[in-house]
Amino acid sequence: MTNKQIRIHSAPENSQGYDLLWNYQRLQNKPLPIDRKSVVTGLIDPKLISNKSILDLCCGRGRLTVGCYQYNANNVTCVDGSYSALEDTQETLQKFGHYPDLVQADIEQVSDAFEQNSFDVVLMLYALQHQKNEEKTIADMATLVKPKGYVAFTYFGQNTSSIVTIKLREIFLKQSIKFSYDFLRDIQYLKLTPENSFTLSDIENGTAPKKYDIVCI
Amino acid sequence: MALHQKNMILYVYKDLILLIKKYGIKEVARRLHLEDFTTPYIHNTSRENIGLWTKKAGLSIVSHHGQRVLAVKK
Repeated sequence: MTNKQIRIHSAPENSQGYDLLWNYQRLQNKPLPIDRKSVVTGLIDPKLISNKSILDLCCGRGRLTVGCYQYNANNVTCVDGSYSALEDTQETLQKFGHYPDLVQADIEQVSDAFEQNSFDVVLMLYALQHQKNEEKTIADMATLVKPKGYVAFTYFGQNTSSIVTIKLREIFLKQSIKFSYDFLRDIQYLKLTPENSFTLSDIENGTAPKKYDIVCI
Repeated sequence: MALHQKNMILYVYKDLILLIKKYGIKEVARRLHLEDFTTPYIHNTSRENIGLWTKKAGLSIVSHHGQRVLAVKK
């Protein structure tokens, strides 16, 4: 068996931004996921995915997909808005001899990408909060799963926001940028803290270490 | 990388600097740890709403622990 071609159904308006995010993780040499059984068990009873057809929505680099195969999923269909993320997923899975169906799709249009009642299980891990209309996304997941099939997802409560968080959200809203969490987590990874020895002036003057370029281009 | 992407990042970054100036780098960095700071969209993802939307979608919740939901289609 060989890799299947990534099917392009639709791309979200900020798909290039998502690609940027995933490419950035590549630049940081972040390892691709390998053993991800715990990712599955944190979301769903593995018995429910064994020998089942799975739809992994917003698969990213495939960490949940890897876990699904490790729990003997029959077939996994991976969907993400980023083509780069799907390439990473493909690269990871082929090392284990798995060749999932890969589809680039705007999640807002995902119900058009497949026939109704197509999957035994639909999963979405840490992505509902990135959807413009999360109620519609839940409805779409219900549309795509077969009767008596399972839908499992996570969401983030957003009731504890500080003024900083609110201000940052306003900025991202203004810029229509949707990948704030991962993006900003990476800023945190870059140690944007006083202990890191570069100053605010260094940032503003562009004299911070070169590895920060991706953030301050 | 396309030029408009560079500009996009630059603009956001400048705003981040303004926030750091206003609130202090520690506060901004600390807030970046928050799990609930995840998205530009301000959703009302209360437990009640998640339950309501799931039900409206034709799903029955099997378990709803923390912010993890398992539901089955009727």
